[in-house]
Amino acid sequence: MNDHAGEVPAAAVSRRQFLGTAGVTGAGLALGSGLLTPAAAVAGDNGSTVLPRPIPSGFVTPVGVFIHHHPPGRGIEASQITDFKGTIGLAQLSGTGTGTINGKSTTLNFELDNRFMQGTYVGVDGKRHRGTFGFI
Amino acid sequence: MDLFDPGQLDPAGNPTQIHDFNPGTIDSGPAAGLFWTIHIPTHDVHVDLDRATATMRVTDLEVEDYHTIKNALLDGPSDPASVSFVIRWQGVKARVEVRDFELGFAGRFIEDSATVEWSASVPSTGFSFRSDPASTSTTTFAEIGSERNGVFFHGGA
Repeated sequence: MNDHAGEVPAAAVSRRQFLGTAGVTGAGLALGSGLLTPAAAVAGDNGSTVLPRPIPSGFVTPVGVFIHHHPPGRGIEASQITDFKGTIGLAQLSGTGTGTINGKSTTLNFELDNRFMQGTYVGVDGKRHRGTFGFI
Repeated sequence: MDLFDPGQLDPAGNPTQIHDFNPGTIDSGPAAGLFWTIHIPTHDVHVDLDRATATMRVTDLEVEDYHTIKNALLDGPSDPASVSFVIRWQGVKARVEVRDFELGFAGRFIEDSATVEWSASVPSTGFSFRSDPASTSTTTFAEIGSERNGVFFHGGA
């Protein structure tokens, strides 16, 4: 895949446009950036908090970052985690709402691709667990 | 979860993205590469594949506001934020069975419709958002189903 960084004005494109135009590359290097520690040990009353591993496949985004993710569509691997067996849900939606800042309200458009994965997975500790994860 | 301001158009006439909420990507360790995926309580999700319905209800989930997807992918500056949402899936548009030996996964999916109602807040900037009622949201693609991959695909478990 080519690095198209600079060709796409990200501020002007949607997640669907930005993540949905690159082709699937199969297994690749994990170059993803990070800040938080998603799925890190969240004290939960149900479900394991042991981290799962990402799916090995994905694609290189226009900014040159490989992500372990497949854009929504028929027949795609919807799960974000590997060594997983369970139920999934995927919703790619759009709509409108109201944003408010400093007392001023504005109509805004939204787009989202949210998913859940619930079931059995092999965690980074090599053991089987049951848990629920959200892709946000 | 992305927000766009229709009052700010780019040269192509598209609304400009002003908020991008996600929980980040793990960048090191054995889970490195885990992309915008976070543990949620089991009771946040209810699935009934026999009735082709599901609900995902998440409350006050801590995320980051990266403002644009490009900035998010490059792990640029962000503001702590929280989101709450309810997504409901229902109906049957198509039933799809997939067995992909190249990627190593198999699944049975029900393509359907979904709705969402959600809110977000960014305390450091005072910004808040509330979507219009769920009935006004539009489905581009939605599905629920079962999937197995990795050792559960190759092992046939």
